Amino acid sequence: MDAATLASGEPTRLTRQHLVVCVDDDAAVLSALTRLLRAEPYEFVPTDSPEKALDLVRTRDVSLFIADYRMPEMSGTGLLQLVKSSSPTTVRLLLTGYPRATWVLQAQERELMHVVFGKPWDNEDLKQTIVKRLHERERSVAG
Amino acid sequence: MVHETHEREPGRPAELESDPGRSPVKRDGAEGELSRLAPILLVDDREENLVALEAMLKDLGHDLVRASSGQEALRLLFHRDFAVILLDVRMPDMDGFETAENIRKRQRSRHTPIIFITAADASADQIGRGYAVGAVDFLFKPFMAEALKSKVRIFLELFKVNLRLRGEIAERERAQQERDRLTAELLQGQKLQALGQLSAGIAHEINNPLGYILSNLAVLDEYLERLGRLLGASLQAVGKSSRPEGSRAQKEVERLSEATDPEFLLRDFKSALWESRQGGEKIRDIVQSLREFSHVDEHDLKSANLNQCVENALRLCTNELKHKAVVRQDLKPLPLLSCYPQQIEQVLVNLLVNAAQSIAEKGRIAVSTRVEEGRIVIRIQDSGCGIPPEHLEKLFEPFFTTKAVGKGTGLGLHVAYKIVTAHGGKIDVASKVGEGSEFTVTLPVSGPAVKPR
Repeated sequence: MDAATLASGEPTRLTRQHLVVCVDDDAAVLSALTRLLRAEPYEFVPTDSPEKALDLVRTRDVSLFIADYRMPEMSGTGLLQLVKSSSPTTVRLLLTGYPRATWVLQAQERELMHVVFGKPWDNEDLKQTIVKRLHERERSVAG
Repeated sequence: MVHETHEREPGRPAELESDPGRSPVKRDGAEGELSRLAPILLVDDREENLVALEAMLKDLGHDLVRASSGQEALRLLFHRDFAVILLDVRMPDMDGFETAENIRKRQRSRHTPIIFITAADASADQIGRGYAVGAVDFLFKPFMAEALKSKVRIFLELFKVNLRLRGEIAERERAQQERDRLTAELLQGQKLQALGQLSAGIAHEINNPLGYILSNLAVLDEYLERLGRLLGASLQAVGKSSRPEGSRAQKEVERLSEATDPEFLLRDFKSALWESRQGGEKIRDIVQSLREFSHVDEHDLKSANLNQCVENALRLCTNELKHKAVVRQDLKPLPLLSCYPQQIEQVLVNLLVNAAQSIAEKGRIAVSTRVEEGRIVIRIQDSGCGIPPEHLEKLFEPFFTTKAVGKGTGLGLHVAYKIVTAHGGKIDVASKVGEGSEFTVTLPVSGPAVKPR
């Protein structure tokens, strides 16, 4: 599941060079996601520090950014805004325990994130969505 | 829609319209009621005296009841309350004084006014005795009808006033009950409203652990499968070790073992189970706090440790507080308090939510409990925006709020105030704009003197 074809017919491949960064203040969530995504073709980088995550976005090419909303140091929407300004092509995914909240809809209107996942999430759904979005990004960046 | 027009105010029947010339002999309506309720008891062993009394009193319009002896009077007093008793002193068997003593002994007739009727030659001793057994007045024969009537009328008035007062007391008791019922509703309503405010946060607190529990279970399923295959192959290899297929099976085991990385799987299996279990316990705890808090109306006082209430309240508010403030707890040992712990939690939740909302971005909240001078003192301090002095005095009033319409009802602090004072305690606030506020709840260790509510 790590190859797809571009419109022009050239295949893309996901490698450990593709970074998926995830920020959540709950260590158990990070641990579960690490476990889930260990065998995936990209590199999954979990952190509980928004600063570290932003640093990665600024210094490396982060393909996909996963953020939780309620975090002690910075609100999720604030973080997503910074990621958007810093690296507009990075795919942004919001993970939240309350996906129907008004602020989520508002954030979607402001295009702060591309995808919203509610907690609890479906493992397969999450894995497939990440891969799909990574491929889409590759195609648009390359093309 | 038909507009109905009425010419008379409802509830005022025509016959009770005031008419100054109306004679007091009216027998129907409200007056008749009272005349039945305020009967006069006439006690005399001689028929002609009873007849004379009746003649004199009949145009007062009240029921007149006869008794020919002390015993008969006492019998009648079992069944009815009388406005006044006219008692002949000189009677055979039980005389007036003895009758009066017996009347006074009974709870029901202890305060019924007794007027003694006696001959003019009554001695000072007799009169003294009469007052001693509780008579309110003496009438000496012969007497004028007017004298009798005017004395009796006084006690009839008193009786009526008494009845009216009792009616008013009953009315006030009903009003108080109604007030109590509304207060209970107010408390419950405010509690539900507080729960509503917290519900988004609580949903998050439950969904978060649920997320990794379910995720881990799915991954563990897969681990199990891989380990199972390795185990299967290993057992096969062991079974075939002495046969020719043995070495092929052995190679298969080695291959699988490397691909599977069993050591890692076994370790991670344990971690996943442990983390999931912790998550399950978090959910259990928050559901428990929720259940306790939203439980409808406690009716019994409980012996509670208020530190437990503090912890429950903090748990319910976790999400409100988490991304706004660092919470510091300083809970000293507390004696058990006879109280309604849910209500105390309601107070604490209100104070904590207010504290969090007063902080714009990031701040500090400090919760402390201790005993001071025989009182339990709970302090909740925040580094929020503070409260201006002109708001401080109105803070605990109902419906006072500085929040936008629809954001707050202004009931939280009012209800907190009611709960704390019902427990015999007090709630104070100290605040400085731009620096923060501190709310202090003081509760006597002895608990509420009277059952709160």
